[in-house]
Amino acid sequence: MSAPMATAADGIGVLDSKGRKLAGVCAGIARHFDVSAKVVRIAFVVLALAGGVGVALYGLCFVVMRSTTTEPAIGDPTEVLREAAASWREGLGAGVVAAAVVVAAGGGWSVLLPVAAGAGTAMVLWRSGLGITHRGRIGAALMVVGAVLVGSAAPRLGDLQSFAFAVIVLLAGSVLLFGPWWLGMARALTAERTARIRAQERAEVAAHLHDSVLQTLALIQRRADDPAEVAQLARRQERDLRAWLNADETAAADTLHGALVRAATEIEEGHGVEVEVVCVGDRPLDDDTAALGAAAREAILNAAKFAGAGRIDVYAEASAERAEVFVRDRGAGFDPAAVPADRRGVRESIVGRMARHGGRAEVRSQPGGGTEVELSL
Amino acid sequence: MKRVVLVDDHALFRAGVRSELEGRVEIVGEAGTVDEAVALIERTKPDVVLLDVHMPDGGGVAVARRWGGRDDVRFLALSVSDAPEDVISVIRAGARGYVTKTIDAERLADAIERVAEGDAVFSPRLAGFVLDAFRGDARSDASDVDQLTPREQEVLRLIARGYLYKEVAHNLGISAKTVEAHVTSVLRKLQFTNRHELSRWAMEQGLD
Repeated sequence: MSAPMATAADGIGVLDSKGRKLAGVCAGIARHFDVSAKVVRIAFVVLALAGGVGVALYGLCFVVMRSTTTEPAIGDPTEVLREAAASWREGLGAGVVAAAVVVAAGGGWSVLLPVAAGAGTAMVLWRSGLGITHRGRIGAALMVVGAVLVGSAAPRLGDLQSFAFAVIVLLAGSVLLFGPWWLGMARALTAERTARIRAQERAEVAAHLHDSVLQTLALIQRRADDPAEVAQLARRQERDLRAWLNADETAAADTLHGALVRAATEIEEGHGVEVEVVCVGDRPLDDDTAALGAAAREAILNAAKFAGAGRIDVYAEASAERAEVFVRDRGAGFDPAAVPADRRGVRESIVGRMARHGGRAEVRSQPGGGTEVELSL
Repeated sequence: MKRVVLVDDHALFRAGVRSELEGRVEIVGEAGTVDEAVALIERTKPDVVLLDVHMPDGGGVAVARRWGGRDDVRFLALSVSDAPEDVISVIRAGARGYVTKTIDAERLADAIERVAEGDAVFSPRLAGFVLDAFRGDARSDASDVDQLTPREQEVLRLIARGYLYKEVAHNLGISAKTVEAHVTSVLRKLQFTNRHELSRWAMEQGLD
């Protein structure tokens, strides 16, 4: 079969236009319930021969099944029932007329009842909107023919068989009619669950915004007279929100980039300067890269404390073979040769640390010209 | 003074930029939508258009594409976003630079000046993106625009380190004009390269 396998979960079956012998009802049902089309056909033929129930059932299926997967299945059977109930008079009328015809033709009670019921049902179906389609008309006609056949066959069969046929028709019809509705209910439940999950997500977003953005906005209003503090609050919040929106895990990552971002955030908050970290490539933290990160942190901290510049640029480039970090400010600068020996900052925590890990540190600075610290591994 | 048009859907932000740039450039108009912006540019023919990347009706990308590089009007993107796809898409649409909204007034005025002169403006972050995007070997059939020359890489690296153009020039022992030429060449590569990382972003924005 070339069409993709459908499952019962897709609701009502679809007429199989490719594998069809007649209208595609049997092939469609076979595909829908994943059974052999041959079995379904034999079942219909047997039902049709045994009193005509198969013909009526075929008509019913033809009416109810969809012609394509895109065509919506009959959704709510209560809707159909309401429509049908609205035309009960016509149904009754058709039943009475059919009964009169049977009586006129000399038929007995056993013929009269099924024919009248079949004609009435067909009229109701017709009135409920199914009659406007070609398919609906053929289906309804088949159902009437089936009902007539049942009626004419009934006297020859025992009561038991007649009863059994009626039950089979009823059951099959119910499954086909109410199946999709029931599945629709199940689907509505799923939709409801999805909606609940969405609401939960929304609540989480709201909670996050409440804890972060609204808090910061409240703080900003109270600190409105301190521009430096306000700028710092805004920047911290911006960084935080940006990371959250982009699901950016860099700050939490166990890499050189992550270490630099963490150091930058911490120093930004502590010293009210802007630290811009740009990283090309990355490398996981090991002893050496951790030392590089720590030395870089020290360099950023020095710049924040002593340079008096509003902004510090941190640029890192990392690959498996090498790693470099540049920390640059445009602040006061100093004469590296004139740094007193007791200024442990640069000598120990930067130069010494890099040397111990097989790296190198170079400080370029001049009074008034800013400072750049170059660290490499 | 350079004549500048502000395009941003937030009036409050336009007012902020206007007051910051007061006395440094001449703001000849403001627009809040793509249509308004195109009409305003048509009418005023400014030197530089400051372009917000995110606007409800297509944003700076739409404005730059609809204008299509006529009449020496230059576009400088000014955005809150520093997501690579935003940067790349607006550069590919024809912007000659990209700066984030946290830039201070002096740097912004400098960037406007530079873009008006026909140069490209790369923030440290944009330089970092470009280096990242052009990293690794290009395919063997790659053309010139798919890779950076060693000199271009050096220039970008210094910009990423926070160097101004004249400092880059000094550091490399070349003239500032040469630095500008390198940066403009990188911008051109950024606009025309078929490198996977960049064309993918552009494709997602429907630009290719």
